[in-house]
Amino acid sequence: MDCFYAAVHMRDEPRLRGRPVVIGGPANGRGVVAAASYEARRFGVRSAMPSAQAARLCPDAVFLAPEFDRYRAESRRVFEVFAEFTSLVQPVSIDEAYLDLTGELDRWGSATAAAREIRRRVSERLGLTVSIGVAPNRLVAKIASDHDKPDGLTVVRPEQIEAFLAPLPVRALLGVGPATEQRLRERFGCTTVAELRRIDRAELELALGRFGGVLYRYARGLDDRPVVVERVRKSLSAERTFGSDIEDPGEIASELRRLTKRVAAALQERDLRGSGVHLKVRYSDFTTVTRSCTLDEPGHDEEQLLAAVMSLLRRIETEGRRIRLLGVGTSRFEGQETDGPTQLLLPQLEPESSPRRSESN
Amino acid sequence: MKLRIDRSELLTELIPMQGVVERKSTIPVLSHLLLRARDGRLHVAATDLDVSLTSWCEAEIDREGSVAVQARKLLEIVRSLVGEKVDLEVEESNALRIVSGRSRFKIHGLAPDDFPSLPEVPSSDRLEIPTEAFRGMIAKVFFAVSAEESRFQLNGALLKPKDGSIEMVATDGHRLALVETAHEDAAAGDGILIPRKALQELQRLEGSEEVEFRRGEHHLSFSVGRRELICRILEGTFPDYEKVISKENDRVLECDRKRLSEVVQRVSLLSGDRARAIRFQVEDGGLRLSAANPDLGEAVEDLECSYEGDKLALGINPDYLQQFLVAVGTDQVRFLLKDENSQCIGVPVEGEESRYLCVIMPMRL
Repeated sequence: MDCFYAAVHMRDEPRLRGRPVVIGGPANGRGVVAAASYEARRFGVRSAMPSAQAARLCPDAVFLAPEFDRYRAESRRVFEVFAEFTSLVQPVSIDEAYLDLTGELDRWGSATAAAREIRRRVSERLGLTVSIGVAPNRLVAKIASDHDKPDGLTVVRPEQIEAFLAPLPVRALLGVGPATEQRLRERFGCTTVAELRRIDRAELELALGRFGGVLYRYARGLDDRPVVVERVRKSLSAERTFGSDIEDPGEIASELRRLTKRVAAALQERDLRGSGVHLKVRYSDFTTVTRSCTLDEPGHDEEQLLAAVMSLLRRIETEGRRIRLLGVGTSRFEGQETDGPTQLLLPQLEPESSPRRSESN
Repeated sequence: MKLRIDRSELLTELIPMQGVVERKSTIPVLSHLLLRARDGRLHVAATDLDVSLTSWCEAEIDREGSVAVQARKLLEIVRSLVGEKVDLEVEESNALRIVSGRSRFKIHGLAPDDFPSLPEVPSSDRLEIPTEAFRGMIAKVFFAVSAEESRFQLNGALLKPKDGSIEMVATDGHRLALVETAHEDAAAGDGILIPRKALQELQRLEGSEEVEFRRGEHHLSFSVGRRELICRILEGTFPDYEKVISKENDRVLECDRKRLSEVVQRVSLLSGDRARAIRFQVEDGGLRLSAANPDLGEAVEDLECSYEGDKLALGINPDYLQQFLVAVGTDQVRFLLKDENSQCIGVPVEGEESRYLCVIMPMRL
């Protein structure tokens, strides 16, 4: 989806159309940008940027608090459209997905025709625009979908892959971040995919380890990862990057409470109870530490989770450290480990130590 | 100790000892057998401290005495020999010299005093049970004995004498097997828990028509001919098993045992590895077994059966079902069902003298 959060607001509130819109913390606060409209991006506003900085870059921007429930409802409607085209839909995020149309080509004539129809239905039913990349694999499809945003459709046929990728910066390839980008530039003087393609596989592996081999294939547009449909949620977390680093213990505690409250609410909404709890702390120098523990009983109660989070906090150095990010998460959800058939117990023979293990279910 | 003995007779007594000998014990002497020559017999004993087995064979004794020797090695040597007779002689520092024909071995042993003294069970209270019947009873319940050590009171089978019969019961919390055999000498008494390992060894014992059973304060003795197995009584309270067996299962199904067993075998090929379950579905005149595994695929097979009533489907562990089918042994089997969350009771169809039933809890699919 294109600028999904901002697009939802702009569709429903005509006064916002054509204006730079920033979703996130207030301009005068320490929050960060969750999403920005294209109008705001033109001023250099980016997601994850402190709201205050966004306000300096774009003083006319309208700042709106995020309304995640609203986005989720819209997201469901978008995914309903996807489901009309194929059962092989792999959600990547609230507004992004891979669709495997291999088995559906007879129905739609071609993947390109299907993509056009998806764009038409989303636009007609939701009044939102979507950008689609059509390609033989996930790697190229993803790059293609970003190629002509917003409201674009990019088709890369197998014989076009090499030419399509060649001029792109190495950053366009999945898994290449600032660190890899820098290493490729310093070691091989390479900045584009075309240049990357000239490097031996062995040399890449030497420089980047196993990822070198993957990157060698990506540079050639080779990717055989399947579209994975059902991914069981394994963890649920909330984190927050602060506009300016925090170090006051009281402030840390109240931030953790807010994050825990969000996690607890999300768990309750999904009817999940986690037995694993983790705490993530990133210091101002970007070093990150995590600590985790196991609850006696799987839970989704805010106070129960908070007690665990606060005990984890005591295992982390905070004194005199400036903290950039805090995160709270849960994992190992109840019921997941016993997915599949469950042996029932003879009722009168339940172990006394763990009463009513299966009888009550 | 110095003696001459018949090789095959000795071998016959050494073999059953191996099951009792502890293989991975940290106490070296427990991997040994105690040999003692006295009164024209070579006595052999093995123990793991919970279960012990003793026996003897006739021998021409030159000099009485005793020694402890490595059980496995002694068996391997005696088995490998070709002569009819074997000469055994204890030399200095507990070395055992084994000579047969032109073969000569000398193996290092341990002092006989290092061998644990074996418990004795007074010969007051005796009950004789036909060996075949007794072994048959064990075979009918052994598979239901729990191997989970945390529930030690289920790590054995309950032997319960009743007036005119003997009952044996085992359960692991998922299923329960009960067998009752008529016995005119039996009189009602307390149930005794026989530990798993003793049951296992008892199943192998042969040598006489009758098993002589005696009960001591802490130990049980089972004598079969010249062999005597002594085990510690498993402590703990066995569950009130009669309460476990449902009286409400009014849906009755009968089918051919062998055919059902074959179908279970085939269908369970697709039941998965981790939580094995097959679907057991009955409706008028038919039984349908099926298995589905997200990684593998599906299997379905129908079987004729006598059943009249509402359609009912329950999940069941195919191994549990199969173990019952093997143990029950009759041509036809009967299942008593209630619903998909309640126990399924398997019983033989032919009117045997003994009562036998196997309660199996279903799996939630």
